[in-house]
Amino acid sequence: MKKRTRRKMLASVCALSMLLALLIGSGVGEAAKKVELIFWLGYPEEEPVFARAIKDYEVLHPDVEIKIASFQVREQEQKLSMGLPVGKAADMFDNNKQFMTRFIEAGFIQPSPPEVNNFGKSASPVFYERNLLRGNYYGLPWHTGGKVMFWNKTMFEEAALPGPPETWGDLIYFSQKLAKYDPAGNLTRSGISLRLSGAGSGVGQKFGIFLLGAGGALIEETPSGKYHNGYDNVAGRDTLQLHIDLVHKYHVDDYTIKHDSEAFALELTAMFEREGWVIGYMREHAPQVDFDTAQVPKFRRKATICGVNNLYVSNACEYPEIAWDFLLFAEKPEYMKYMFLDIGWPPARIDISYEDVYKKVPQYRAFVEFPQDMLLWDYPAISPLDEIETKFAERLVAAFRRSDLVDNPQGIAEVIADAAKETDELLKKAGLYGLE
Amino acid sequence: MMKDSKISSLTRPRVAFALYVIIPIFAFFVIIRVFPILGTLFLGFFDWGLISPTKPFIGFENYTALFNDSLFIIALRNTGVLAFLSVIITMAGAFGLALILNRKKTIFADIYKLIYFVPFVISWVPLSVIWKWMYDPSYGVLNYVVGLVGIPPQGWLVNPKLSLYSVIILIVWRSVGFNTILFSVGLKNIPSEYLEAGRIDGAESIPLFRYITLPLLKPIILYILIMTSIINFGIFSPVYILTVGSQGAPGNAVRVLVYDIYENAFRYLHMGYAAAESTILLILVVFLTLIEFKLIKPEA
Repeated sequence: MKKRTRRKMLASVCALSMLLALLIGSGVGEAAKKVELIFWLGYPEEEPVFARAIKDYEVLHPDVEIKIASFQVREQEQKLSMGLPVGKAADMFDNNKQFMTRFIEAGFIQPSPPEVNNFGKSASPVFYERNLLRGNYYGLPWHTGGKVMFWNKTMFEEAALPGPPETWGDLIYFSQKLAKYDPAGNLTRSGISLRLSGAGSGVGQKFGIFLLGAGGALIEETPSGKYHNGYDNVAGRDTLQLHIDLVHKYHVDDYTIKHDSEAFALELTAMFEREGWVIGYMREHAPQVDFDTAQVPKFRRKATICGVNNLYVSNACEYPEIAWDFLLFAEKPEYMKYMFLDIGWPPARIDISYEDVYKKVPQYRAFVEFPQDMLLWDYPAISPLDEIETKFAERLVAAFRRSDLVDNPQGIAEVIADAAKETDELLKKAGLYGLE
Repeated sequence: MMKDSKISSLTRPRVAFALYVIIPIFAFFVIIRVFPILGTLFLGFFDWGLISPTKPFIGFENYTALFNDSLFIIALRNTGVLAFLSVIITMAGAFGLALILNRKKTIFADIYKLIYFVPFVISWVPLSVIWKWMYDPSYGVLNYVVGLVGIPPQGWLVNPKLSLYSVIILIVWRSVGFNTILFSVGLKNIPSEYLEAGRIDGAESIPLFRYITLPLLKPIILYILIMTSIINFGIFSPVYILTVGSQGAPGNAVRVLVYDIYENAFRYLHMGYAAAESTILLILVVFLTLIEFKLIKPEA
């Protein structure tokens, strides 16, 4: 019995010692534990830029560890939609204000602290001002998504055209000169590659670039802060007419030929409108293609869509000061130039000279140096925006196929009016509709 | 009495063991299957925005809105066409192939079965990407093949008249091999004595097939019919991949119910609305399954 008691005591002491050792050990571990921050990136091609910035930042701050996970932007948005409301999203992430506004309004995003405000206002003033929402700034501008015209210099030379189209008139005439057909009349090279198909909002966005030049916009904000469609007007009708004419009347683009950047790289189109990443894509996939960039052709005004991708800090982030400090660090000129030159996304910082970048890749200039009289339009930050643009796009996809819309102003007007009605209904449903 | 209690004391540990084994699995099933279904039914009665601060109860408003929603109607119609044609073509093709491969004189039958089965083991994503290339208007192999017989190049995915059928071709191509294997198993399990007895009685091929093969294959036919219907009503991945990008199919031309649910739930964040849509899909699939059971009831 005595022996058993002694054994029990010995076992208890051993257990206690082990527990103590564990506690002390964990305390030591705690003392040495690094601050860990997670970054969800919606543009995987930018990961090398962040990886470089993280590496440099961690050298300067050995107590900080930043982990990055890259996703396609739609997947990242889904993860944010699920994670932010329950405080399980990453500490930092990138996205645009249109997507983030609903989360900002719901209180899931940190307002930018004063030092970020000071930096943003001096480094990227035009874009930073867009991030003002109810008295606070949210997000630090990172890259811009300005749309420009890409044109194949060799094809233009062959067609004896002097340079890129500057007006819609040029655009129609040039694309007819540039399109090629086989003996059976099938299009073998499009004069211009339009976005005619595909699900999602892309068709609406590409249409929107022309719409802006015609004097309209997908959505217009009223002075009282309400919204309504901005295309049930002559601008909307002209833009649809332009697309119908290019496809069905002049047959400079159609459905049986490749589109977009792939078509440009394969020299199956002479021109198309896109963002800066195409330059990196062309360098990788089609270095032999001689091309340049230009501002999108105007009709009633010079205008293009120029969105901004911002960097945000979640409200659930445990170390917001460190997160903001890192984001400011990532905007150093060396990383901005690296992103511009090697990845192809134009930085939002306009207080840096990019002449050394332009020397190597002159096509980049059009993405940063916009003419003074050019309208750089961005979407309003309203929650039903994606739904509005996606549903508008679906209507356009159906309309583009209709050859009966050639020389049919009544039909064009009906398509535009029906789409506009749907846009306004969605705005009404969200309590955002107004005309004054 | 003594005997009863002895049996009972012997059975009790077995029952307990069975319960220990079944309960965790059952609980797991309830958590990952039953609760989400009940949750979805519940959400359908609310204006449940994923991040909206208020989520008011709105009764059947989501359901009435759905039947006035043109996109939902398009999705319902497309899903019906896609499921119906896929099921019919898959079953007919698989059954025909199984009959050919089960003939004694067919050589290399097992190799053919393996070849037909391969697409089924490839997941939807790479398969859809491959088919997107095959459907490519400029470089796709399909346009090359139709060009050989003088047909001009087609916009397989971008032409709304063709795009839904292009998705159906992909679905049939993937599932026909698997169903061929199932039919083959069913055909092999038919006792040869029945067919021989029929032949001795003077029955020709068609009556043999009509009165012996077909009735004995009913359980397999029922299984394939139900499973193919359920899978095709819930199809999503190929539709999503084939519509992505500038070379993608126009969304509305191939819009199916699960794609519409995905768009409402995860793009527009209308969870309540998407839940109501999911409920309708559930009711539809259950209803069709019951009809299929009723129509092809295997004999006891």
